[in-house]
Amino acid sequence: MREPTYFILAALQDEPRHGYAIIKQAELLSRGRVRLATGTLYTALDRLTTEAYLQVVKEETVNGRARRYYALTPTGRAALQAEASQLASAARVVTEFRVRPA
Amino acid sequence: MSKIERRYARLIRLYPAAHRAARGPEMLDALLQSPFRLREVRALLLGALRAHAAHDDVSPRQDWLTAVRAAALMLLAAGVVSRAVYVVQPFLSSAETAGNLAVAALGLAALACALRGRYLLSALGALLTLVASAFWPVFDIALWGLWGYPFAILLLIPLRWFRPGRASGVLRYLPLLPVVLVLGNQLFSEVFPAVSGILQGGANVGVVMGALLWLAVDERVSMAVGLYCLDTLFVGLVYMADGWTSLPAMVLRLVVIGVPPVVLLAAAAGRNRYQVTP
Repeated sequence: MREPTYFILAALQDEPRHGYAIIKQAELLSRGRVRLATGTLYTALDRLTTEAYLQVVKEETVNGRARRYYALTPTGRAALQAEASQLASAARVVTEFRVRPA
Repeated sequence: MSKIERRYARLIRLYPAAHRAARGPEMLDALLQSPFRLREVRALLLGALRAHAAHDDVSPRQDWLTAVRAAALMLLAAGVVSRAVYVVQPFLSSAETAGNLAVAALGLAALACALRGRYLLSALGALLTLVASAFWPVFDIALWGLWGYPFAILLLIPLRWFRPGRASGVLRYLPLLPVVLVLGNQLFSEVFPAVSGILQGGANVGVVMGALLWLAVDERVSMAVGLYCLDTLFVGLVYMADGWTSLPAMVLRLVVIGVPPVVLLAAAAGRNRYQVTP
């Protein structure tokens, strides 16, 4: 899974969010490393919705414009968990490394 | 409407109408919550191009099959047009003109079959065109088109069993590229005979560079152009085998004609693997 996708999914772990809120949350969770442009985010949202990782759960109108809220689907949550486990086990290879005494 | 809103609205208008209707207001809402940034402009331009390319296949195999079909169509189109330009040459006898016309018509039938998804019939048509070419031999530019048929047959046969995906965006118009190149080369030879070689080379480099840049939008285009260029590598090898020169000259020639397809295909394969990762 690509890093931006990982943080887009991670941004929706706790609650459904709209586009701009996903951008800000992904930036926060990644400590500023993932700064998504809006065009890039919506390309990713289209794809993740098609792949059933995300779904639109709420829609409202703000200043005459539609605002959709996205949430993780069970498939999306499972994919995120699987990726996190894989990253964690890869990290353990380094963090639990002990130099053997000579 | 503010100045920034107008700017963003203009950029969103670049997206296809259906996409704009479904996403436009929502995107504008997200864009207006942060200050105007150039990287947003770049992302919107690229997003609009990608949306027009409608590259929604997530299977690398399907992407390759779609590119294989486009490359086969390009090779067939090159064969037809490079023969067709000979139909109108005044120095040919009426029998030769009729022969060229027959070969071009056969090639056109093969192209029409491929366009309609009758790939096995198209491969058979390409084979017949190749056989007919033996009765009306050609030289110069038409020979290049002729060499495309064997490779086109190789590309067409698997498509009978493994159906390619839907061609969209630039990929739909790619079979016109060899037509433009062949006619352009003819034009260069007649209008600027002294520098026609340089102009033809420049046009080919331009096509390769364009296909490389298009990787950012739709890698299937780069795959198709790479496969099409692969045929010129085979032709080059045949020419080299025919006219053996010094080893360094052969190596240099091989590098010049081999690098574009190898780079295009490798870059497209890499990009495709990246694209299909969620």
